[in-house]
Amino acid sequence: MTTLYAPTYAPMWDTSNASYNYSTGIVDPIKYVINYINKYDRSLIDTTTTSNAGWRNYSSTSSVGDTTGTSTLHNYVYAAKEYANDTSNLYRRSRDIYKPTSITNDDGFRFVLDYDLDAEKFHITGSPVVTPPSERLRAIMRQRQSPALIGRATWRPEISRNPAQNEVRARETLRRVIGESKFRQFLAKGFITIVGKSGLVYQVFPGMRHTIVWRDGKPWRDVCVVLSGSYPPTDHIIMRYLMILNDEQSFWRKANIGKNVYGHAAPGPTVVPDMSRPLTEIFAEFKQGRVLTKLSAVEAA
Amino acid sequence: MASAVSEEQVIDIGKGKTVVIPEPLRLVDNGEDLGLEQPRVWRVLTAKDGDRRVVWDAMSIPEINSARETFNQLVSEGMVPYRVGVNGTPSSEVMSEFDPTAEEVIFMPMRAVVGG
Repeated sequence: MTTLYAPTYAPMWDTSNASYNYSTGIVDPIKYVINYINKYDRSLIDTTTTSNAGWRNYSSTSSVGDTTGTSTLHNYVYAAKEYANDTSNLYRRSRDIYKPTSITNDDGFRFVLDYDLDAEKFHITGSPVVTPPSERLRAIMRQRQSPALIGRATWRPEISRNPAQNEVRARETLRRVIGESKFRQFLAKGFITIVGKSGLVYQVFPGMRHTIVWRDGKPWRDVCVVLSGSYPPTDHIIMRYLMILNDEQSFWRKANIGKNVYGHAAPGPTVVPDMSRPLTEIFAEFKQGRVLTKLSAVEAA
Repeated sequence: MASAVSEEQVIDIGKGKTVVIPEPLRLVDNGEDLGLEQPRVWRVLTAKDGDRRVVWDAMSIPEINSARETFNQLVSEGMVPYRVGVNGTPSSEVMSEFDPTAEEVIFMPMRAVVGG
C-alpha cells in the first residue's frame, strides 16, 4: 500500500507527509487527483503551458520538475512522466485500470481514493488546510454583523442577487420612490412597511405575494393587488406603495381581500438557520473538527 | 406608430400599446450623465423593461413642449404620474397636470393594477 497525500501547491490542501513510489506508475492516479482538485479551483493548475509530456508547470514553486525531493506533487508527476515514457511499463495498459476502486468522503470534504493496480495498491488522500476555529468563529461573527443577504436570497427568490435587468431597474426606481432608509429595509428584510392615512400598517412584499395588513399591532387581513403582466417583482412594490400612500381606498377597491389567516405570529424577518445557533455551540463543533462544507456538490459538477 | 420612428424611442406600455417619445426627449437605459442643465427624469413602468427612463432638460423650451405632449399622451393611455420628492425623498403625490419643475416622475400603469 502506497500512500500519497494530496498536492502541496494548492493552499487548501495539507502539504505534509507526502511520498511517492517511483516504481509503480502513478501517472493516471495523479491525473485523477489533479482533475479532482481542479474542481475546486482551476486556477491552481496550469496544464496548458507544459512543453513536454504533461503537467509539470503548475506551480510557482522552484521545485517544478525537481526529482530530488519527495514531498511535492511535482515529483509525483515527474516520476509518473518518466515512467510513462517507458513504453514497456504499466502506462500502456488500458486507462480504465487506473480508475479508483473507491472514493470515500468520510467527513464531507476530505477525499480518499483507493487504487488497485495489479499487485500495487494506492491510497491517496486529500484534506483541506484547516482554518483555526478562532478564525472561523470570527468569520461567523462578521457575518452576523451585516444583513445576511445570501441567506435571504435563498429564502426569498424575488430578492436574488443576480436579478434580471428589468428587476435591476425596478429596484433603482424603488430606491428613488421610497427613499434610502426603506430601501435598506427592503433589502434586509424582503419587504417594506407602509403606514396608510387610515392608520393601518401594510407589509408589502415583492411580486405576487399578498400584502399583509396590520391593525392595532396584529395581522388583520391579507390583500392581493398585483400588476397584470410580466412586471418584475419590485414593480409590484412600487405600485402598492404609491397606491397605499396616495389613494388607500382605491387600493382596497382593487384588492382581493383574504381572511385573517394569520392567527399565529406573523412572518418576521428571515432567520437563517445557522444564524440562530449559539456561537459557543458552533465553536465547539469546529474544535471537534467537523467540516461543514460538503463535497457532494463538487462531485456532482 | 410611424414606421420611421426608431424602436429605441418607443415605450411599450403593455396590452399592445406604445408611446412614441419625440426626438428632443431621450430614452436612456441607465443613469447616464447627459450633461443637461436641469435634468428631468420620468420612469415609465413597463413589464418588459422594468421601467423606461425618459430624460429631458427643463432649461430647453422645445424639450418642455415635447415633454408636455408626451406627458399628456401617457396620461391618456392610463399611466398615472406620481411625483418623486426632491432629492429622492419619498413622495406619492399624483400630478394632475404637467409640471416641468418635477425632477422625477413615476408613471404607473393603473390599468394593469388588478386584484390577485
